[in-house]
Amino acid sequence: MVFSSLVFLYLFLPVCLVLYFVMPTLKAKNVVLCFLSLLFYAWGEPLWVVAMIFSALTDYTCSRIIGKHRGTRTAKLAMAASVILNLGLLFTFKYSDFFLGTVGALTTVQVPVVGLRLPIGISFYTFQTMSYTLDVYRDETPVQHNFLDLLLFVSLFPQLIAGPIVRYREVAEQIGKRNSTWEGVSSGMTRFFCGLGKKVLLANFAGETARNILNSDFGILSAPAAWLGILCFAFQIYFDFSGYSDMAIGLGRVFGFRYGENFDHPYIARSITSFWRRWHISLGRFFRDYVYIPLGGNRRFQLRNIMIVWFLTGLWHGASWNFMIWGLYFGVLLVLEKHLLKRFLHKLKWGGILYSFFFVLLGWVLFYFTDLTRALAFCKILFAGGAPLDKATGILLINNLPLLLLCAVASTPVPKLLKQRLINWPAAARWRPAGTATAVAFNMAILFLCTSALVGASYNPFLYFRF
Amino acid sequence: MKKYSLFIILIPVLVLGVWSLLNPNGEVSAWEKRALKSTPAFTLENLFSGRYTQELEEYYADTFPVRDTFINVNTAMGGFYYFNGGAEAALVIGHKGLDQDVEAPAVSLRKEIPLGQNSGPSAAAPQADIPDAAAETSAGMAELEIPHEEPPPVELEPPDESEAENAGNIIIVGTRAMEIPYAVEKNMRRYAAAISRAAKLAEDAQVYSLVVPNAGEFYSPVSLHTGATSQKKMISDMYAMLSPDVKGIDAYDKLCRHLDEYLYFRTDHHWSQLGAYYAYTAFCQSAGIAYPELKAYESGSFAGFVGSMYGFTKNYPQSKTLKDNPDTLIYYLPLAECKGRQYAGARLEDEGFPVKAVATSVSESYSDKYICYIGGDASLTHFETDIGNGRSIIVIKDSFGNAFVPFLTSNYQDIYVVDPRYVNGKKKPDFNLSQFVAEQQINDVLFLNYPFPMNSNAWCDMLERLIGVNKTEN
Repeated sequence: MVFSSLVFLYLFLPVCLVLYFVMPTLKAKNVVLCFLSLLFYAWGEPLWVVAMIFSALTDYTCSRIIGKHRGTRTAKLAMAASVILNLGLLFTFKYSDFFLGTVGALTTVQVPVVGLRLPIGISFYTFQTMSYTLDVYRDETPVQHNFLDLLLFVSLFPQLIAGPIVRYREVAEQIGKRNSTWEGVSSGMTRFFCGLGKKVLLANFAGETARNILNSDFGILSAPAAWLGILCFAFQIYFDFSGYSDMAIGLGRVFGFRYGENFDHPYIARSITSFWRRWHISLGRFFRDYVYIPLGGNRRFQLRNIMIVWFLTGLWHGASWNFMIWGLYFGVLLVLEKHLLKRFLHKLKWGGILYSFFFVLLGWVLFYFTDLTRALAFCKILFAGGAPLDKATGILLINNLPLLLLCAVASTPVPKLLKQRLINWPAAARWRPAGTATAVAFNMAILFLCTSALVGASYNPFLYFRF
Repeated sequence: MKKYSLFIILIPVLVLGVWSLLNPNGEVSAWEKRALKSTPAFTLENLFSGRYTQELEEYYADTFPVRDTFINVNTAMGGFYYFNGGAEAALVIGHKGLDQDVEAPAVSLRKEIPLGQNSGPSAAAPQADIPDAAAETSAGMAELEIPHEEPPPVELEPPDESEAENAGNIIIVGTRAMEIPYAVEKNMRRYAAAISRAAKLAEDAQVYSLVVPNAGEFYSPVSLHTGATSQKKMISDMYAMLSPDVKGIDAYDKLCRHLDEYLYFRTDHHWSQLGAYYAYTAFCQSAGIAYPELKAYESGSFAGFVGSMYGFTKNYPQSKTLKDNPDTLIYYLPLAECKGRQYAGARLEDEGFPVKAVATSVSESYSDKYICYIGGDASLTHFETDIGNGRSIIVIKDSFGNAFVPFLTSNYQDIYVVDPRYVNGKKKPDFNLSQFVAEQQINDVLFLNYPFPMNSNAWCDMLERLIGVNKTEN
């Protein structure tokens, strides 16, 4: 199930809220959440829900072994088993056909195709369960002896299918001890509706334009239309993904969980380094803590470590060469910034934003086109010009102008400031209800518009399902 | 207050949520001209493949309370998302992926498209639908003459540029929506080469190429039918690439002379059968054969035809003008008696399914009235007429050919129709053109398209597979 669907908004969510808040004890609430999360997942993935339970079971067992045999070879083996089983699961579903295809292309061997469909969210939950075992192994978090509690951590539906990648140690305490305050419920709902609006009212529409342009015949594509297309894709992927994170964080808060932020206005970053501190923060942290630092971090082979991390980051996004090139592209940019550009960049303000947005946009070209020849052809149109500017392009620009402006403003901290002004601003206690009323009205309006768009449109795919 | 804010937002959610469960019956949406989804069938296979829950969601969206109101709001939101730029009339949008468009999904016509309410027991005898009067006139076929005076070309005032807005391939001007093709020379070369190759392989048959302009050439703003979008130029350029064995037919000139007539639909991307008739006369002149006067045909009509162009643009507020101004489809019945059969397997040995060259009734619930011609698109269709001249033709066509083919019944005893989209692909039957031409000893081969296919990579692929052109030869 996805959040931006009528079934979720009008059936699953209200039933879930009612059941959750009716339950008298936290234990009962957890059981309800766990059951509903499994239902939520099985709705979209009725068969491979077993893969998720298998992954949770693996880490439950491995961690208990590690806890019992701390410091011994057995603990090390258990840790290795968890990593191998989780990555094996991910590899089988996500990379086996790509791997076999590459082997087939390099040799003359006839290779069979496995042909498995990628289960929803597998890239997210395998990382989450693996991080739990690794943290137990490093003795950074206690062993969870209750399987249901661990399964709740893995399957918790707000963050299950598209992140953020929550680390066990961040929520370990909250599973057994948390308070849902009305304050939290209320701000959580507002956060959820912000995310819903981003996804349904911005990302889907930007995506429609992007898809139309990027999938069109390049023979007739003019340079301005190409720029419009990749710009729309940049907005689509940002609002899609960050909207999803907002919804996850908001729902988490409703149930009393506090997740870390996943996005922090990445398109106003003044360098690529800063961009990656603001984009998909939980993934960056995962690779930093479990790959970069164990490899030696800044202390030895830094260049090698950076390249490995960025190769893996690219690979994580998809089983295709373009994602690896996309990852390495950022690796190279980051190294350049570290050694060369740093001293110039911090002097720039607007220039820095333009510089990093430009390179991020180019990155999205690599990201979008799994076919590299098509990516190159597209770059040629961007820079060397394509078909002459025609009436159609002009109209396309006008058609999308209001949406582009709205997206551009929504990518900056302006909406956040507005929210503070309108909702959190009234300092005097007697004005506070006015702020709350504004929030409610805002949520209602978003719900109404999103419902209209969802009823009216059949086009509603979540981009991050692929990962 | 903060305490209760959650409840306030939950009120509409709960009301609509409960209502949605009490209101489980989807019907035919008059608006969308489709049957709304019904409850999906539960099977374990459906469940495990994820199809069941997916269909359940679609069903839920289709039966959502006050659905029409929400759809209205969504369309109104389109004023923001598909901004008009302040222009009064018209607008456009809807950039169509060309190749996706051409590669039509292989729908089963029989299941989804009722070819008229009278297709009961009489369906086995398709010619029964042709009125007696038409059968009688077929006796007078020998008297056919080539009409004499051609009217002069009609000059049309092109619409003002500022009225129109376009986002690629579909443009709405006033109450007319049009597709705008772009010349892609590489594909035109492939298209011409494939047809030339077919002429070489089919030594005993005469090969014709007929590319007809669509409405965009005549009724769009100047910049959308000049330069790379000039259909006149792309058609003559492509004809120049054909080998001398192939006869390129100039229907453009004929159509130009009748632009004040109802040659093209406004809400559908096809031409009218009248437009097809003028192209047919061009074909006959090129082939040196006689054709009946238009007034010889018995005609009928379907009113209230809101066609494909509305379907493509219905999410955009600017398409309302199409829905409010439907087309009328006027059909002309064949003069000769003819029996038609469709062969989904592209093999004449199969049983086949009876079809009419022109169906005089099309189910109300089906919005695409253009389906009345030759039973719609199919892999292989065969018509056998009673004119007894022993001549045969095969037409390789897109859907523009459908309105054209019924006219050929006056000139050929056997008419075969092949749609390359429905053969030689995944789960599609094999069909080899030159082999078929040789086996059936076909006299004439006609490639009929509107300008999109000859500029489309996907179409050229299909054509090359049909003809057996090896890609490496190019």
